[in-house]
Amino acid sequence: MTDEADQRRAADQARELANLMAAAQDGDRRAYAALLQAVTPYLRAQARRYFRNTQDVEDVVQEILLTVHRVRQTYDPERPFMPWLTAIARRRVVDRLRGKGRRETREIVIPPDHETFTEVAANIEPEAPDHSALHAAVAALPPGQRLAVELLKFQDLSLKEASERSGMSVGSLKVAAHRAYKSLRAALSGGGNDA
Amino acid sequence: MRDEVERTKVAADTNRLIDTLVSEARPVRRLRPPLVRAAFWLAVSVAVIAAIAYLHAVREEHGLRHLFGQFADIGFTLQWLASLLTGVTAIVAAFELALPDRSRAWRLLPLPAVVFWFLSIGYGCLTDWVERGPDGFVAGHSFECFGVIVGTSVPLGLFLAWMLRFAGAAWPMETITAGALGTAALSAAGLSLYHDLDASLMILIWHGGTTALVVGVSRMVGRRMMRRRHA
Repeated sequence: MTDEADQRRAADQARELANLMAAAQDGDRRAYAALLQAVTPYLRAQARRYFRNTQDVEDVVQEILLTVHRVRQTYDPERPFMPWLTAIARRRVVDRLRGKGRRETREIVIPPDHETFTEVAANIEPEAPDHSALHAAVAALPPGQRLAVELLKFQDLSLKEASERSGMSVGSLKVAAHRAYKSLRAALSGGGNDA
Repeated sequence: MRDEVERTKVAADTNRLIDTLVSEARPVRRLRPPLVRAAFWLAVSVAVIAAIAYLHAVREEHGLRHLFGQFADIGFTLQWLASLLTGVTAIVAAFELALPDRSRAWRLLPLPAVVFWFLSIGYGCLTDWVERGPDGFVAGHSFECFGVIVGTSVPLGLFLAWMLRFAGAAWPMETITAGALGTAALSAAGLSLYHDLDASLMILIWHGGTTALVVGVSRMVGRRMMRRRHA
């Protein structure tokens, strides 16, 4: 009973599509729009069987619609519509699969995951930094500040170790280092060097 | 989530495309049935080929009597009918295959005629051998045959390609192969009316070979064109 009803509904639908296409051939734009809207989900479902990428699926659906438009005078309203549409769809899917195959033999697709950063500059091996400007700036510092930088940064000592080594108090080392950073920053950025 | 967003975005593109197509949808004239269209092409082509054959026969002072005298030879008649039948069936197949919803089995239609054609030429080669021995087996060259088959096939083929310009939608290579075979076979049939080749081997080489060449080149050109269109 339900089978019969299903069959009848399918037959009605097939006749409806054939009628819409016949009307579209005669220039009925509303019928044409209804037809294309009606078949697009079906075409999309078919295309999804062959392509995983959403863009590929949609591209092939659009190619099928364009072909349908281009050859719409080849449809004979006496005959069922779906075999006509399916043959066109099949050809476009096959052509696209072949085109994809050809492209893939020539090109290697590198997904973004293979790059460490999407910024191009970040993937370029950095050159060894130029320290001469820094050393010159440090040499130009007053003796207390220079000592603080040398002990804390160049020799990487803790404040306590630096205090023992230099005889300066932790507090005055901090102040000297702070002033040194400030004048180094001024000297290096002011000189146009961004090291 | 991202997939969903992307899917909606590309689906919107498709909806825009549908809107564009609908706005450009002018009324179109439906194609006539394929057999009617094939008959039209065949009528034009047979007229052209017959005219060329007639002009040649008159110019070479053989006259029409010579032309039809050859049909007394049963071997020639069979061979000629086979090439004509190949041409007609291949052209009918091409017109059917050019439509998306016709069966692909149409491509088998010219097959019996092709086999018969080549068998009849092969049989001619055999009788030549029996009658004349190895001496009758000299493969001369006849660039005239080649030139006439190619020269007739190209304009008729272009006319056919124009009539079958929608074939790219479904079975382009099958249509091109059948169309090229039909055009070349008809050209060969027209040619044998006024151009005597005394050895069957030469017919095999120049008629059969040129036909194969026309089909091969057409397929190659067709494939290139398809590839470029969908690159």
